[in-house]
Amino acid sequence: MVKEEEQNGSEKGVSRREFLTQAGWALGSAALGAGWTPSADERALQAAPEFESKYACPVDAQKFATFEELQAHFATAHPHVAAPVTTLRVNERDYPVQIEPQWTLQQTLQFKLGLTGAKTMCDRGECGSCTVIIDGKPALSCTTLAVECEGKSIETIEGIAANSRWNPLIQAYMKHDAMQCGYCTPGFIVTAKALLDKNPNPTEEDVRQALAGNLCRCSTYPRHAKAILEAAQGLRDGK
Amino acid sequence: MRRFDHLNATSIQEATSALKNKSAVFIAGGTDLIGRLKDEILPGYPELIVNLKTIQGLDYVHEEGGLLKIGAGTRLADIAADPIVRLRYTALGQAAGRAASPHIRRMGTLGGNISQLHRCWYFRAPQNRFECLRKGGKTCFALAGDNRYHSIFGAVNGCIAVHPSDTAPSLVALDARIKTTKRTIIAEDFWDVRVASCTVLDTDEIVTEVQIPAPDVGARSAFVKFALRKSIDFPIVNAAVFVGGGAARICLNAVAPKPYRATKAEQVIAGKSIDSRNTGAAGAAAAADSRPLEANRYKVQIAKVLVERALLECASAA
Amino acid sequence: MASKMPEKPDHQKFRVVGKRGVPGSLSYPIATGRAKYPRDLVFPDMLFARVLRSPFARAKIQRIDTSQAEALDGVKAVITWDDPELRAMPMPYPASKTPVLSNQAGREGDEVGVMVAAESEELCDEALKRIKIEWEVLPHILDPREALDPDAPVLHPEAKPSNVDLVNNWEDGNVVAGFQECDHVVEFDYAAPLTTTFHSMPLTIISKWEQDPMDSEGPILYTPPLYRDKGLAVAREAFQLPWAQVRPITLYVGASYCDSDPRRVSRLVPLLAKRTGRPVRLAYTRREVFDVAGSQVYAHVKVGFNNDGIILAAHGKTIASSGVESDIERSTTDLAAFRMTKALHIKNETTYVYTNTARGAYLRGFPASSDLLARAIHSIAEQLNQDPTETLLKNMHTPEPSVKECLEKGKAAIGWKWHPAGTRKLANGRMHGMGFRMRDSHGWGSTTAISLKLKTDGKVYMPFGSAYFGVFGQDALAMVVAEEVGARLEDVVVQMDPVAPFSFIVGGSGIGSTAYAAQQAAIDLKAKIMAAGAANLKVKPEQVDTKESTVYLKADPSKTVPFKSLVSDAVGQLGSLNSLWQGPTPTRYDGTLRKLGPVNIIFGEVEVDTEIGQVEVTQMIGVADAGKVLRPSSFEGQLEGCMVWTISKAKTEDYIFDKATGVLLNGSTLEYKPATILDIPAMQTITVETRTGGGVYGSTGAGENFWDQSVISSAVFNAIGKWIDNPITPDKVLKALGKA
Repeated sequence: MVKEEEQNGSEKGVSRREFLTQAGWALGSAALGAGWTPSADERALQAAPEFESKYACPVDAQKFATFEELQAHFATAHPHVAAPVTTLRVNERDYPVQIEPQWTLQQTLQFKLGLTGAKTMCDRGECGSCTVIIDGKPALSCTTLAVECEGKSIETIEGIAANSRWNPLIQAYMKHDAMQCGYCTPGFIVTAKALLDKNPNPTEEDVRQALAGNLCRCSTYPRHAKAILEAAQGLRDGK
Repeated sequence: MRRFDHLNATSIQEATSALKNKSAVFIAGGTDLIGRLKDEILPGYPELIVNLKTIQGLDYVHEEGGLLKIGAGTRLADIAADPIVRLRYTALGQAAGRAASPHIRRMGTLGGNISQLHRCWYFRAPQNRFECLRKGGKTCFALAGDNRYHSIFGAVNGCIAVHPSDTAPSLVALDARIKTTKRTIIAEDFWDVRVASCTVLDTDEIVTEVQIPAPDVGARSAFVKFALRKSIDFPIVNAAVFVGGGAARICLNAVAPKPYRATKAEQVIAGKSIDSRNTGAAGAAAAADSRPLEANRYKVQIAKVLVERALLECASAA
Repeated sequence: MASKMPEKPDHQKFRVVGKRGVPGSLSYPIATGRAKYPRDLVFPDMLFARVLRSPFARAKIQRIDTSQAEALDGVKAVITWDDPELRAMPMPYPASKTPVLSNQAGREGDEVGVMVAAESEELCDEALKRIKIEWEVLPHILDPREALDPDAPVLHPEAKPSNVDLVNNWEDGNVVAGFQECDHVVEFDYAAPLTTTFHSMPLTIISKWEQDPMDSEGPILYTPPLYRDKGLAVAREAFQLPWAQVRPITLYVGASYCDSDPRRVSRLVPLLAKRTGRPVRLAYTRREVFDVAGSQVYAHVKVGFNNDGIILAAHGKTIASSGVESDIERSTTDLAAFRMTKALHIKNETTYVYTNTARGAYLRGFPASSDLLARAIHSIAEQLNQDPTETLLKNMHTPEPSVKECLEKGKAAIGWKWHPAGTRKLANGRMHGMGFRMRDSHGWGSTTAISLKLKTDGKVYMPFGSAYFGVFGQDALAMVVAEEVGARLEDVVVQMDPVAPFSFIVGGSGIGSTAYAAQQAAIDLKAKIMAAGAANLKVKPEQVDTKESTVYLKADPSKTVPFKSLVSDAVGQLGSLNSLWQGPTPTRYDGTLRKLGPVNIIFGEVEVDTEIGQVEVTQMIGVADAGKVLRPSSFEGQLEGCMVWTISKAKTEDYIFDKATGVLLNGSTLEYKPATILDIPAMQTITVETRTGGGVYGSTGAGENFWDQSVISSAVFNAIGKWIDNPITPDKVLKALGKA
């Protein structure tokens, strides 16, 4: 089984096993078949890991072991630079981060928190691949400033995947092959989750309208409504 | 993005005072601003971004004293979903519901939507590749360039870019007022064609509320949008109409640098029955003063037809 | 290599192959966001890189001063085009003699002159701004037709005397004689715009050199295996490394769609990583990914036919763009598709020319040839007042089994009822039209290797070394292995392994072919399993067979031994039963099309709102002969994806340049306009299985052959009687109707 520190990988140099994990190779999941559900330890692994480069100085990139050391460095080395400290609440955990004001939420999630599910397809708010949920509403993380997110509740694909309540959604996507290259998939699933939270019994048209801001170039479009409607049924049935 | 400083304003006073700094700009939903900053389309770059979303009390929709009042910070999705707006201020509800994408409608505000900058691919080319009239330069590059999406009603201040807002023409058709920190402006006087701005706002002035007079019983409004794709896209042409009490108000957008009030069309249809003959005449009148370029002549035909269809939609709703 | 049909297709009944219900082996990491793509990777000491991009469509750097950039705090490397190590690298574009980095820019946005690595992307951009450059701006060419003007500037004088990149002229038979036999001639002009595959993940190269403690040779270069592993191949070549020292840095790379140009940066970024001693990440913006496109095409075609509508002769002249440079051979924009007809006299004259626009590449296959045939069929049908599906069928030299079956099923599904062009107005006032097109579903083959190991846990392991780009290839192969070995599908484990024998899948088009390799390896393994099982049961191998991961005695099926028990008896606790098959797989696309195997036919139905010039696609049916479908869900997924591409490219996609400066005006997701979910109608896919393909079980490829650019324009023609080139935008429709 993959261990949590291997999931992290970043600071320790990359051994072969860590490399394989970082690259997302499906160790062990090749045996997945229909009806697969994650075991408890899998779920624990799925929780967003502590990603240590959030203790890197946003101005000169020096690394520190703790947040307090980073702040102390910042106060002495860059007294005139506005680099706000903000606490981001992501997937029900609080992360203090020190970032620059122009950092988007997507950049912060990726480079500070190691959460890479929100993808960059356009970086201009035109494709939906960077979708996260902020206070219950789908938002484009590439077009959201991280410093404006204090006090908000942010959910990413990683949090949704770690929450067993949403297994029917993940499984429905897998069952219907509602992905090909997979790059846009997290954006769709996050948007779908937000829809199902608000509307547990959507019509096919409701689903299409909700996904109207998500682009897929492999063009899996015909699959998403099927998968989401099946997931909705599964959620209503309490699976 | 290049760095800027940032202020989460907690009051209007704090915001307007910070905006007095010439190099400060406000951010509402950010769905226009952030993309523009990433592309660095303008010769200058703001030193400070002032967040208006942290100002409480700008997010509401309610009727009061014979007016529909919408806080400038209200998200487009909420406007589109509001039952009063959908029923009685239909053109605005439809416009807010057709703007951009579902994600952007949840992020974008009404105040931001009407304040957004115009669309022209010369103006918006990254790294200020074309320093045109709207950036303090001397030339409109679209005039001799590719202007297929540009104005069919000629230039304003030398510029042929179009204003892309979907809510703007609905506000004009519904005879809205735009309330700012300094004044209250009739909707169609709100827009202008300036360097790096599409409104009459001072740099330290912000929109606080949009007010729309409650319509008479039997009045109807509608909004129609034509775009190449069925989602995300800005309009090629859009049209908002209001008919009621023997009057008509018709406004087109994406056809000129400012929302275009089709007064001739209004005169044609006002008080008349909304049938295909009269709406056809209104459509033709709406396009009567068009001065299209070779590449955008098709927009004239589309404008005519959208006016007709928006009017007919009012009739079928009645 | 010529196509070779395997022996008479075995297997009429399948236990595993062709079944549904098993998710892909990588679907869980993808769905949960755990899959990491090159753009996602973050290393703690990572640097960021950017290359200077030309603001001009054609220009030369006369002088460059990088001193202020080098002085900027946080900038770790500044490398100019004349760096000796860069100069020594093999040319990525040998035909036009363009090097990895030069002082000449051939398109707006071209990588030119200098690259930097710094602690942040913002620092890189700042550094580039501080580099002082003297440009000589030169006249540019956008339209390929202008490239052949006598006074056009020659774009690659050091390589070619004119702007001609490639000429593809051929003639079957004798067209002069052929036209003399014809009763009628139809002549038309056709144009296809520049469009792009629009990769999901904007190109991102992240490279690092690391000593692997298990390897003593030297630092290993980890870099993305982009575009069918070409990203690795060109880096290996650039740094003259053995294959053992180049490894993929991720499994996932996003989609490829046949765009196999790994770009200059696949060589440049590893160089920055080498010089700085740190990982380096270069992330293209979306705008920068418009650097490559399929060819822009202008064709003039003359088709001669008899009173029955049978094509006897065809002659086409095409000018197509190579863009600023190109690294591929092309055989696209020609009349090859006409070789599927009975016509024996076909003359093709195709000239590829250089322009200062996007670099030419495959565009998920070769669509244009199919477009020309479709146009001819519809034009002939219209002229003779025939149903074009009848026209197609009678023109095919091999109408059965595939064309006939696909046509029948598709017509039934869409409710095909032909009417002459421009004659059916609907109650809603719109004009109704239907069109279709047929393409051959060829499959690609390659040299590949499949290795299988049955281990002591009773599972068959298939190490698979190829980047994952979305075609579920390894899952299809696992099904073939399970089928042939007699194992349960869950006992076949695909192990994505970067150093496995190279199992090259050429996109969806290559699955049937690579599956042949898997089949052969599985047959060999089964023989070994049966030998071990027979020994265990104390009988002869011909007395046993396999099923459900057991060996059983044919005479008494209750006597079984599970695979699990066989291995250690046969080879000991630490061993495995192995097989390996390697070689060129049999299916090769030979382009003669004189033999026609499986085909695919796509039907489209439109309503044209003639008042505003809007084309509404109301229905699409895709019928594809898989030969034999291996994994139905992903087969259908390829077809669906291509059907959406058909709509998207017909309606909105185009590269729009400012003529005066050559600047790309619509280089963004918003302005380029790939289709959204609301832009597609109800779509249906139908799978046919004639077993006439060249891959395993008579299967064939799925993917690149499934899309073309003609269906919607044929349907629009049927609706309004006008031929309109892609993209069929409202301005063109209204102009064709005289309303603008």
